[in-house]
Amino acid sequence: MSALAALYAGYSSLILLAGVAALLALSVYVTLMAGQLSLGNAALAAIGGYTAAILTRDHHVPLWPAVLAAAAVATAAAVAIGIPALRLRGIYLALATLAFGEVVRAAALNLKITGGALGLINIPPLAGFWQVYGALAGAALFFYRLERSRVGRAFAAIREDEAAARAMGIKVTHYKVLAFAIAGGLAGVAGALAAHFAYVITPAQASFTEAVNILTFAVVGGTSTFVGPMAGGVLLTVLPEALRGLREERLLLDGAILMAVTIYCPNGISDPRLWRWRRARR
Amino acid sequence: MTVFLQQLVNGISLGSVYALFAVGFTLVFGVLEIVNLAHPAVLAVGALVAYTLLSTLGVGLPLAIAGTLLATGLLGLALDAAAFRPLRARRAGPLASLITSIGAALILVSAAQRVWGTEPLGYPPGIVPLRFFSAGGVTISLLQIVILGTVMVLVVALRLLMTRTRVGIAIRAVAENPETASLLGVPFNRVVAFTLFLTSALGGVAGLLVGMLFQGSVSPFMGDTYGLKGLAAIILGGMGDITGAMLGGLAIGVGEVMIVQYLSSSYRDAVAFGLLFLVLVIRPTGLLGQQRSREA
Amino acid sequence: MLAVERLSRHFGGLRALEDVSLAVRDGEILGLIGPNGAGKTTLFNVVTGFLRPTAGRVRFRGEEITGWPAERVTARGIARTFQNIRLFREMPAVENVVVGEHVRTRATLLDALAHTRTHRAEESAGRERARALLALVGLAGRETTPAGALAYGDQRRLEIARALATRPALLLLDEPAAGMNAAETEALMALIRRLRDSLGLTVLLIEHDMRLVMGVCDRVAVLNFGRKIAEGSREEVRRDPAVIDAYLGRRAERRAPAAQGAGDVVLAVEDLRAGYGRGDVLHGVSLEVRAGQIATLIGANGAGKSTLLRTISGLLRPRTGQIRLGQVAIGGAAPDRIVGLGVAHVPEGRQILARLTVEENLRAGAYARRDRNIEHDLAALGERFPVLRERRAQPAGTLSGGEQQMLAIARGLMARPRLLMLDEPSLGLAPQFVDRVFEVVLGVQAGGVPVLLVEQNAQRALETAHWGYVLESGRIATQGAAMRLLGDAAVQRAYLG
Repeated sequence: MSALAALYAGYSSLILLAGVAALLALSVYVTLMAGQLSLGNAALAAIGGYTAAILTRDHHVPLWPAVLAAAAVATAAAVAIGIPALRLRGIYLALATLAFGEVVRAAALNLKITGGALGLINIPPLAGFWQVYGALAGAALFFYRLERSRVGRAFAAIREDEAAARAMGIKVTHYKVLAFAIAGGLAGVAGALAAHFAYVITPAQASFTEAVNILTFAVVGGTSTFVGPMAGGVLLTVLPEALRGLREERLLLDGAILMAVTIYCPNGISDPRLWRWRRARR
Repeated sequence: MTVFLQQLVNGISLGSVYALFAVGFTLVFGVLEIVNLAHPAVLAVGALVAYTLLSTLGVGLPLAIAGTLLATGLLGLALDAAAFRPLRARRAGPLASLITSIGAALILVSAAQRVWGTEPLGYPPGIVPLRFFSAGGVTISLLQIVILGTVMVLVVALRLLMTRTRVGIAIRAVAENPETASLLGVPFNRVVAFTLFLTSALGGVAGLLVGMLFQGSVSPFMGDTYGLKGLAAIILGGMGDITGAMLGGLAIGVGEVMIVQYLSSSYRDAVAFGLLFLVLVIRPTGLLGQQRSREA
Repeated sequence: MLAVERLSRHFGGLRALEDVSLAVRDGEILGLIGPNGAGKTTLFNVVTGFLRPTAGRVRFRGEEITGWPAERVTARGIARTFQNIRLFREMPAVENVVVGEHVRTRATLLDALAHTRTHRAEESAGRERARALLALVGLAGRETTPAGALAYGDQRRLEIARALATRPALLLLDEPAAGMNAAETEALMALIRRLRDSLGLTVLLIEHDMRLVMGVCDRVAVLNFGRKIAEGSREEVRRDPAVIDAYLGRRAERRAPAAQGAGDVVLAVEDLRAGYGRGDVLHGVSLEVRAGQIATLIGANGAGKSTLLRTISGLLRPRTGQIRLGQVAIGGAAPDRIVGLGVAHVPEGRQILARLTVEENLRAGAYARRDRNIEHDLAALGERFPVLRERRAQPAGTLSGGEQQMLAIARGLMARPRLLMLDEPSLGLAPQFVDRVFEVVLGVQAGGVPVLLVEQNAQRALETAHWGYVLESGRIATQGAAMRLLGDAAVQRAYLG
């Protein structure tokens, strides 16, 4: 047991980061479930982080109410972009969410309440292992139920063929906005929790690079089931660190992993077809 | 008024570089329907190669431009072969190409770091003599003239290529309707490879021009901001439309300079991207774009 | 049950539907037929809310539903299948059907999260019903197969099961028998009858397979060029001269085709099998085109004519069989190689490069050539098609349909091909352009290029060609001298059953 404790002590921030990455990956996943690509989730997470940090640091609100408030604000923002973006498809939607993300980042850079370029510091360290992984477990349960429900089926139908989904009586716009709302909530929670173990939050966290990172978690992990993005988030956070000895090569490896996985495992590493083949082999 | 005109001149010379970069972006989108996120990294590599040519080897500007064109063009070929072509063989969706281009960008940036280090570099002073021309209170530097001139030459050359040569028509045919193009005998993969050659070459020269415009800004990481601006330019101008990309790039350049001048520099990005969001929502095909026949 | 009143739908200048009025009575099976491009699917799209009408109304069970969005129309009780199957391919078959239950169930996200009784009851009842529907359409036992992996005929039946899950009063079927063999079509006919007799459904179906239409429909309505040209019992419609004209084409002045060409074999196709996805569309097709000849391939929609051309030009890989151009085997080669060897394929729908100018389109046609005579050929074609020379600097997209067809043919000729293949050149063209097209085809052959002409307009095609092949369900049903086939009842049967 003490070996585990020692392991945790040494790598605590990495483990927590991995948990947050998994949550963020899930937030991208839920919009992908409904066939929409969102590149604004880093910004949504930042909105959540800033909201929660301001509440806990300056107004002494306890952690969970602050996290809930953060989720609510992020959800509202997500719905605000989701609705106008409804008529957009594919890459155009992605670019619109990207534009939104940049607006948020620029706002964070400039507003006094967000501390400008330096961001907010001295955020009380209220989040630890149980908070982050508790939230993650809750999210996992949420997705488990969602995937087996009428709503989850509606998402999948929309993703596969929007016209056919409409022909089945599914109110497509309603569900697309719902997907965005859930994404906002998840991202908000992730951002809020991250702010509370990282001590700081900066505008850079709302950047395009971050958003793209989150996307790669989901895609590399595989998007056929919720386990994929979680695995992708954890893997792509932990692996580069584990290979930290090769510090200089880290970017190179990240890039090589991304390319290799996308080319050779187009459905991500959690692709059920991959695993079925391996089991048959034994 | 003179201030406005002056900033207009500044904006146009800056915007012309954005335009050159955006043209590369949009051409790949037009032909392959993918957003090539390695393009900004190619810009950075181009600027760095130019550094080697200008600084380490001491060649003159024209030769440096030619050398950069060639080097980054070849890089584009490699990019297509390693990142995009395998996906075409597997009929993967556009999302996969987006991700591999990101992976390729990371590899390029990290390789560039190995070769050129992480510190920002500057081109040797005096590549373009420091001279200014004034008229009616508006000043333009020789450097700005050279940049504008280079961009115009390249753009005109591109246009001639696209309209007068066999390969140019082939590229446009593929962009319009790949299946029909096949029926006319156009070899899809080779045309795509050439398109990547072309666009990366242009992107590389854009990097060189950026390096000249902003002293001491050349580093492996310089591509990021240009990536966003390039995307903004092609959204404005209509994705897949070359003229649109150019006008979009100019608009972004001018807009940027004007916002800094008349509003606050800190809100520059917010305003720009807010406008972009509106453009996308109201007119997704961009201000100039038209419905592509492929989508019908 | 359903009343369509003076419905029109225009797309710019194209009148896809013009003043169509139709009534579907409770409990009847009404067939909607008409040549390619007549507007049948457009009618479906307007009725089911995928398109808004330009004019006219739609009433369902007395209620006006004009302009309602698709989701609402389905909720009211109209369900449909699609011409190009739109299943949820990655989902198992049973899941596809359960999606159909969506509109009749209520469980919300909260229900699902809390695993309430509503959620559990609806899930299990839904699955039960889905399985029953699968059994009804003959797919019992295939529940867990992903929809995309099913055979083509099974996919069509799955789409029907999915539509039934929405518990409609009116079912719209769009070409349900496409791609089915005789046995499957029989089974489908029995299913449709059962749907009406046991489940009390009213059915409106679009079909090209006359066996099915004549076998199962109580009444038939016929569309052509967006207008209703006939409506009545099966026999009435089958004998209606307007209908026969629409399908086979009106007899124009007889033009004698140029002298019988019986030169060397330019194109030989032997026992070709090809298809998309799991099934075959072509089941062993053999034909020849000889030098100096115009060979025509006619047949009903869905028979496989376009598929055959696409396989010859390399867009589709053959599964078995041989294709030879002269002495060279070209089956399975890449399209650009086949074009380089001298095959020019003018595709269905013309497919000109809209944003390129007329002249650029023509130059693109010469892409595969390396000789110096391109300018000369451009000039010669300008002579032959003056309208192209006049409009040479305009974007090709601004040309009218007939002009675009001329451009597409001229573009094909720019390659100086050894064989010109035309896929339905007269489709959607106004009558005077139809005449022009067939004149041009004669001109091409007179100029020394053999032509393989695929056409729906059997009459004109046979009047123009030397030799005819009739394709039915992926097989050559009849062939012979075009003159002889003109009077042959077999041809009429292939189209009208």
